[in-house]
Amino acid sequence: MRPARLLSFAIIALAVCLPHSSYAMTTRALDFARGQINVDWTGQGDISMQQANDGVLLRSGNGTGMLLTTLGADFHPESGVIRVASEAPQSFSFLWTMMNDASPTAFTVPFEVMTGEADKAFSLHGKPEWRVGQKKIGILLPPWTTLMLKNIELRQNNRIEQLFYALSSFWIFDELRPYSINFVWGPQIGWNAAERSHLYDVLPPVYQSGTLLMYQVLIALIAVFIIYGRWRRTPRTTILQRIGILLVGTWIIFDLRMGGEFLSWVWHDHTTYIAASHSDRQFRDRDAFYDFAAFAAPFVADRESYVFFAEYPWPYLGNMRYLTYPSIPGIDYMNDDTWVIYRRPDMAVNAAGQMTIDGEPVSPAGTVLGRFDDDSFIFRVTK
Amino acid sequence: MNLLAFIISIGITTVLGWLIVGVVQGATTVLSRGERLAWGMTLGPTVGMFAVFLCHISGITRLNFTGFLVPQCAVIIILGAIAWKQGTLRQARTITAIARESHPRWMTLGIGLLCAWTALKLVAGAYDIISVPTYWDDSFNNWNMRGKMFFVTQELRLEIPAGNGVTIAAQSVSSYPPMLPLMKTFLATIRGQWIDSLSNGIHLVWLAGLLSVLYLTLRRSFDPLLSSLGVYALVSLPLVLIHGTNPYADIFVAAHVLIAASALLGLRRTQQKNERASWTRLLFVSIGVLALTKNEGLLIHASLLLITSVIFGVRLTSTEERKAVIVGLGMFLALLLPWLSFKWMHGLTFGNASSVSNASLAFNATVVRAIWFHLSREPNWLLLPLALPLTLVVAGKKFWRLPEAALAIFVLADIAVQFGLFTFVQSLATEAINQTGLSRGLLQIAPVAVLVCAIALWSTLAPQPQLKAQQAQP
Repeated sequence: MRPARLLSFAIIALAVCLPHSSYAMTTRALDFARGQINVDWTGQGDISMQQANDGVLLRSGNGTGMLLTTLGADFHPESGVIRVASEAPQSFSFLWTMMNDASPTAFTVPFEVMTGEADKAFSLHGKPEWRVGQKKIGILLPPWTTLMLKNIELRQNNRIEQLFYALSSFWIFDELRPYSINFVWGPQIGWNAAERSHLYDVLPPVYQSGTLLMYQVLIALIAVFIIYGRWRRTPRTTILQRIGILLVGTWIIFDLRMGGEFLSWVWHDHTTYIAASHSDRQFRDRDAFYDFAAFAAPFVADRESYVFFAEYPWPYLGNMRYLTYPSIPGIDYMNDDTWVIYRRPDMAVNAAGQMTIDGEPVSPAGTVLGRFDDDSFIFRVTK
Repeated sequence: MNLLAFIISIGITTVLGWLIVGVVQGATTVLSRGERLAWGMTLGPTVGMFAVFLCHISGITRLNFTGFLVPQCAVIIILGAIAWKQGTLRQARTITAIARESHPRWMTLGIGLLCAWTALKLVAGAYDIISVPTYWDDSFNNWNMRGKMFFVTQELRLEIPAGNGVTIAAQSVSSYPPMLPLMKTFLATIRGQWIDSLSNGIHLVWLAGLLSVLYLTLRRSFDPLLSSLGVYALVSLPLVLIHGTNPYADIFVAAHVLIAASALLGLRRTQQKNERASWTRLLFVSIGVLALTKNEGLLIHASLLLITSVIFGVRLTSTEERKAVIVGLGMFLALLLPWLSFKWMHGLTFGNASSVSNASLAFNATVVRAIWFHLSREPNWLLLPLALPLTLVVAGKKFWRLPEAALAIFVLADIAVQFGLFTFVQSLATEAINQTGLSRGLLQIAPVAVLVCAIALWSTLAPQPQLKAQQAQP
């Protein structure tokens, strides 16, 4: 049988023989709106629950609190979304324990929320602690946490969906970051929507490396070509040409992926900085720093050195040194009369005209020579 | 104004480089006209800045307009006079590369599309580098910082002020050769002002030089279509593209390594004494210039190229070749010794902005895992970590009897030395584990690896045509 026909037969046979569950997508929504609660929930620990119109207000005291329900063994979701609302930055966790374990351990997926409503997506795919079996699932609140819990949606993807998410996540690009000059993470494989939307949120990435997967598939296919070729007594040159075509084809696909990522970086620079208006432009993770440096440079051009405070020392100190050279930034505020302040909300000039840090005066009186934004300005001590 | 300053600066250094290559090549032409220009464009800035450096450290000049122009013009005049006497001002003999071959239409269309894709990436990268501020640490702490410091002070200062009366010691980034920063200073001097886009734009010249040299080296063996595929393969490597379009020094080094490797390849492929003499001189000079690029250019690549050349390339069987070795070695030492003397006099180190002389040795398993991670889980080199060993295995014993095998030996030895250094030298281990310095050395030899891969692959899949040389009518 010719290889193409053999491959077609194999694909059809696989498709027919796959269990029905491969094609069935299952979603289970756990609602908390008034009158919509559809499962029994139990509070444990230091937690209080108050029903509201669109959710349940959870509040913990000086201990942790948990809200739990039982999830049957027949449903084994691998991802989910939790909708919450908060009036202040908070943290909480999705929690589960395996009910058949002799000493059940609590496993968690932590979240941080800011003020307002948020959908926190999470993946349980590949977590060894998330096993098939009956479990208790729920929410864990640290002490002194108040959170409105609105909805939990759990999803069990079928094989086709998993393949779709895996293939589409291959084409999700990383951003240009300070490490990109040394290495690139390349494609990461997410097997559900939650993973696909968080591929590069945690570094190093915790998902499957697309590069490694590609190498594994390639090596396997090369082995198949060689073994099949030898079995069919195919000429060596033909086997090599097939392997060459496979390598070249994979190389091109990989290049399209990585070249696309590179072009996305250039496009990002173009839209956010090069072609953007002066007042709106932001450069990568440095925001408006370069515009601030251009603003500050004339004020220190006639100074050998100046005092420089930025929200972080790196990369701003070295960068500022380069941009304003020969004027050198430092912290010699006993001798330097010019202060260049970048994004320091803790630094301000008080009513007496002194520079302060957290309200404490650190300089003699002076004047603000120029202000870039609320937290960035140039100050000079009056002699 | 920026463009004018750029053209003037590159024009001067390219003329200088073109003359040097012609003079070193001598009466027997072994390079095509395009190769001579590409080599000149790449080597010219390094040699030109070396001349400026020598005059400056001798106390003759400052790093000002005169200090940049006079040494280079003097070198141009001297070389021009030698070239005129040699008869190498005009390249009399044309090297004809492989003629166009007919390929299937789908192949021509496919490679054409890949070339268009490559051009798109290169244009985008070029647009980016000249349009954005200097972003990377090594740029604003080392290459651009030193260039600007030289421009402002008009002196080759080794200590960089860090504020509060503290200075960054000379043994840090100033241990690297100053040729690259001096080229930036030259551009600013011609312009009259330090402009970031101008000083960063020079890196595109080295990228263009690298790609041109690769293409033209492949053209000695393959037709334009397959040679273009080699260039496509190189640009498709993510780190090559990123570094080529950003103000880092490693493509600058890579271009010099490729030129030296190309000279070794030329030497290996010919049996004619006059041609061997030309290649020998070109080889030694290109290795000497390579030593002026970065510390690893000297310690690792130049050293290994020298060893490889001595074992597999250079012969002393004829008078012409013996003379060429003596002259080549002389030129090599003329380039290397002043720089080594300067380093020794100022206590400059040979490491990666730090000393390696007192480094302790111990096996570090974490580095081995980091290298494996780098090669298998990160697409920095696309599929080259698989393609290179695979093509060498598939090429079989036949390949290792070919002249090109010397380049493969160089590449493998270079990789082994680099991995060995990271694995056993404690002070370098962090560079591998943190994935910071690990890729730099690989990047510098990636073009040679692609060249080896391309030659091995296409020689295996298709018969290799013989290179033809025609004597042009006088």
